[in-house]
Amino acid sequence: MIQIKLKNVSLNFPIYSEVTRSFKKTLVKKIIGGNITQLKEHYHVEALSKINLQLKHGDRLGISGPNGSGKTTLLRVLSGILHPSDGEVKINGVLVPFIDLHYGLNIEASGLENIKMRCILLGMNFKDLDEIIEKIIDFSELGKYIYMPVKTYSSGMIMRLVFSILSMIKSDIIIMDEWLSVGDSDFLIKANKRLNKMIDDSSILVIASHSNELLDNICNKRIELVEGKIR
Amino acid sequence: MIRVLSEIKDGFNDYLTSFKNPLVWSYLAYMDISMRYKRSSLGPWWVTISIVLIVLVLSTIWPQLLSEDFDFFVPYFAIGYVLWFWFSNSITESTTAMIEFEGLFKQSNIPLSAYLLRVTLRNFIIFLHNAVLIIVIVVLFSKNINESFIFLSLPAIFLIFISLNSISIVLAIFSLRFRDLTNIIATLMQLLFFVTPIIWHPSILEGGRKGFLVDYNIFYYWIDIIRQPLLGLDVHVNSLAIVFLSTVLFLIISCLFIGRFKKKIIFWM
Repeated sequence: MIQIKLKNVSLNFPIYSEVTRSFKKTLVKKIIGGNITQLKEHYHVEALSKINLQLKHGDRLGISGPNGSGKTTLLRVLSGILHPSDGEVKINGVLVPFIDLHYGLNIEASGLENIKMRCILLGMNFKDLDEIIEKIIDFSELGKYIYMPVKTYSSGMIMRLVFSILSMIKSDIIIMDEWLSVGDSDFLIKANKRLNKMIDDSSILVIASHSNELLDNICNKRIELVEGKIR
Repeated sequence: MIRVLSEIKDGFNDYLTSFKNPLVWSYLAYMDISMRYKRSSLGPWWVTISIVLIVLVLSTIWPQLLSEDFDFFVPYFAIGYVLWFWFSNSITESTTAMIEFEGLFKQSNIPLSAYLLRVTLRNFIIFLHNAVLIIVIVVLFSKNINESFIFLSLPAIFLIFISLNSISIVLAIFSLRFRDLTNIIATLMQLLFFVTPIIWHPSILEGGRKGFLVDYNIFYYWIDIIRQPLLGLDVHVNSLAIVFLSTVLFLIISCLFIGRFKKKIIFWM
């Protein structure tokens, strides 16, 4: 059964001072005895605090909240990228996160090589890849740029490339940080159409956005985060 | 104790996930190598060329300096140096690995061991390029290869691969937390090159002082178990046992590290 379940999830970001990041200094401190420097070891930022959430098939959850309220952190926890310092996370289903799309690209490699790499990272084998790769290239409309290193791409082209890959993955759960604005107007229409279809096909959608209008349109559940708590 | 055991189990499962889908890390390693070929048409062969150069130059001076036999010293040094290059690069690269893969790490949820298997494998592929030099040397100075090469050295290469990967995992985690460790390890590896029997033979040390340079030096056993059969000589009696047991030990430690720090390291990036 496809579902997401968060129980009392809290997450603290440790912030390290420069001193504690140095092995030599840490060692010296251990040997000489802690109190020689008065610097605090590290402090925490409480990004999420006691979040309870339960999502099942058909749920479209919209998350709103001011900057720094923990929206993206919550999405990262839901994607399994961040692990909570406390509480339980249970996720069943194939999940595609649309967060920080440009992360993890190899900019020296060509667009085509990046497609292959990303697909294999998402768990495909060569057979799946053969079936899907032409579709991805066609959809991206990158033409012969697909054989060029990604470092020659504009940011819009990079977005096209990554979106084309992710949108080919069949997923049960979609996690999105803001609605995508991919490429120029023609491509945007196409991408929006594709995205809407993906969301229709998916079982659960979680989207964080500043636009209440957008969230009202596509979501059937809403939460607001303030200082890491659900209000 | 129970906590430690469950952490080791977590780490073991992490490995298991990596080995269930070896395509992920082997493809990434392959991509890394093909990127090198892209940057220059000789790719990793540049490394081989530089090793050949060092071996050539040192072979003209060193045997005289140490009053060693030229025919013995050249293959002895060349094989040892190619092996050392593999170990040392694999280990030093691991200290920058997680910084290199930060973007990927924040994007996907592949197991932690897969990242380091990528580093270990790409260094192994580079070693295979350099191993051509070993073959040439063995042919040129053709002594009889000891048959123990097949049943000692080849399994040892596999064990060393696993060991290197385990050490890499521990160092990668450490050096993410302590950013100055990269330099410390690089210096340490340079030092270890001189104290490990590569440019000198252990026989020049008198019994008592060998101690930590040879007997307690895992790199010595790694080199010995591959070099001796290629020189037509016998391997140190305990080599395989030591290589095997240390691999198991390294593996367990790395499992513990994965289990304990896997969820924390993202905060150290």
